[in-house]
Amino acid sequence: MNTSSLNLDYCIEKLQRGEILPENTIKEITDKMKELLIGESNVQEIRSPVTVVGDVHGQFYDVLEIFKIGGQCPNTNYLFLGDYVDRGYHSVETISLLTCLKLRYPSRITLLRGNHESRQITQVYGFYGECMRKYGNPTVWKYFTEMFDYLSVAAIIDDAIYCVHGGLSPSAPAIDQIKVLDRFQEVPNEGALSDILWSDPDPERDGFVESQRGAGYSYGKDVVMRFLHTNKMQHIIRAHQLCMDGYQTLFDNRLSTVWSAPNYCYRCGNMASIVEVNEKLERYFNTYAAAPDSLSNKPNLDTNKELPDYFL
Amino acid sequence: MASPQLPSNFHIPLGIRHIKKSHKESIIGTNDDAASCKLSAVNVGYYSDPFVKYFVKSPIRRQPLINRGFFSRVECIEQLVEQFNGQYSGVKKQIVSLGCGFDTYYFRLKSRGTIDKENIVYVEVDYDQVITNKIKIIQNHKELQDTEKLSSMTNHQIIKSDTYRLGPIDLTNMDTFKIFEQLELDYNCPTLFISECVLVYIPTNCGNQVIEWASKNFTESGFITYEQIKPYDEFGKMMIKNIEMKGCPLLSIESFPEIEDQRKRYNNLGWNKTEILDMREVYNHFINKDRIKETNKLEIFDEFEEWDLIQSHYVYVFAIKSKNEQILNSYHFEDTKN
Repeated sequence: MNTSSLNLDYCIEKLQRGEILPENTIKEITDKMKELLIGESNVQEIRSPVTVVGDVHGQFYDVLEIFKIGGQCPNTNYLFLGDYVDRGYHSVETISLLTCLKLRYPSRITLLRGNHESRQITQVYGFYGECMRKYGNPTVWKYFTEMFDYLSVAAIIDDAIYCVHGGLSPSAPAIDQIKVLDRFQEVPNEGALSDILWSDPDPERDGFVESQRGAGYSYGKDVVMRFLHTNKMQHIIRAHQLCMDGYQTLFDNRLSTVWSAPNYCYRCGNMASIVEVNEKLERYFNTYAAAPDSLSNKPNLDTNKELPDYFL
Repeated sequence: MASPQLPSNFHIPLGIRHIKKSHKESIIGTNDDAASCKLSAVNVGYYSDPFVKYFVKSPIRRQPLINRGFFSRVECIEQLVEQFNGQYSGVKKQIVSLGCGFDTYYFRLKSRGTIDKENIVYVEVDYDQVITNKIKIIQNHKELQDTEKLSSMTNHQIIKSDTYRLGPIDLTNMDTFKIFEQLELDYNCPTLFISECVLVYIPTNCGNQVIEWASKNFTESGFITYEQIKPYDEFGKMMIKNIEMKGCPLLSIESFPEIEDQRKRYNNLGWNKTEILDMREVYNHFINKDRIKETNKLEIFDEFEEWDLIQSHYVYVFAIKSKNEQILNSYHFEDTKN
């Protein structure tokens, strides 16, 4: 990494206090991040032990809680499965902190892309609006969404556990096919790159069926077993779907969903979890509820609503 | 209303209590919330309502789940009202909106010609502050006025025209129901009551009195209620807490936590038959499939788990009263889920 005046430790400390970084610092960190990520494969190979984190969706105080529960980076290795932004009130702080941590400890933390790391969806679900409110213009949103194009899309732990945000694609039954995709683009509406970020497992139906989400597919037990066999994998860890208990395992414990945003949208009342994978590849789901700061933290003037919406 | 001098050992029965001023204002605030959300859904294209914009100060685009949820709420009422009209075609009918807020249904029905075609008198009642504000807004926008209404407005408290009546009420105080004499409510024609997120904000006993008053005084009638259920699961507990923090607690939800409790409420208060669907069932089974298709692609929707959660915590109750067995059995609401 080239030397610069960028003081990552200072940035991290500032963010951990809940303070956002100035616009020119965001430009610096996203530029550096793109340089770093170019060198990473579509499918990153990482070693255990590692703690896998699912969707966090801008719930910054719950992310700080994750580091308390799972151990601070770099003492604990982390693999994040995407969906850092949208829905929660602190997407800016969340993605800024994770970006700085990745720059500071590149071999200790891996960030994958989720379906919300995209220009289209962040204009509907909150990240764009939050950037506008906190910075007064869309430039920071542009910097981050350009950076999202560079994020890896999958990871393999110890050649055995395949990790991705959504799941499987009928266009890419082999991991080698994921490796050769051109990932450096906005998430497309269809095709393998879209599917692996949008798909969901379906315990009730075999095969690939078009998803009601309007992108991706649902994939059944037969698809999962075939994928594991073809690619010599033991297990799939993915995120993308809300789990009231914080996690869910399917298909004779061959697939896990990890969900890391407790009391999602300050409304769902759900538990969250992180998966601690040890050197023996055993998976422990460490569950937790919403952080006290998260519950009581009243978003200040930079959000236009204090409490979640219901039908009143 | 002035508190009487009470002996110190007087115990105020559960459910009959004064609603504090700030509490009342928060309930009134939910009306602004609903109007704002409806405008958001309209602006995205979920349904047509050229009138709601006059009632909203600053338009905000809401999240897709809210837009779609309000669409399903509005669409359900449309379909139920259409069925009610069909049961009593050719005769004069009344629609009475309890806690109407800034609802624009009358104006929409009028502009479509439905009010005149179906011979409907549309009656709206709500807190005095709400009614006064609504009248002000109507007076300020000729788009909300018919030629007949202009000449029929009596004062700032009431509107009375051939087809549209508007007046103040406090649903927790049966004395204020005398407004219906002033508004010339007809007790002898088929009448459909609508209460959207209204009764749940007032004590159970008060809500019961309203529901029973309606069944006692009208022989051919319907009562549509839209409100929350299931306070005890994790989502429900969070919903109770969040809404309480908004200042308008759901006072009766624990008395009718499940669908069958809701059904018993109406059946025990004089209604012949009560059909209920939760909003997931309304969206998946009751709402016209063409409308679902038209609206599905209006915006990116990535909230399916949340959608299931929130929609399963709301119901539409449709209670029916009729001397005619055929009418009782010919509505299609709850049976659509089979």
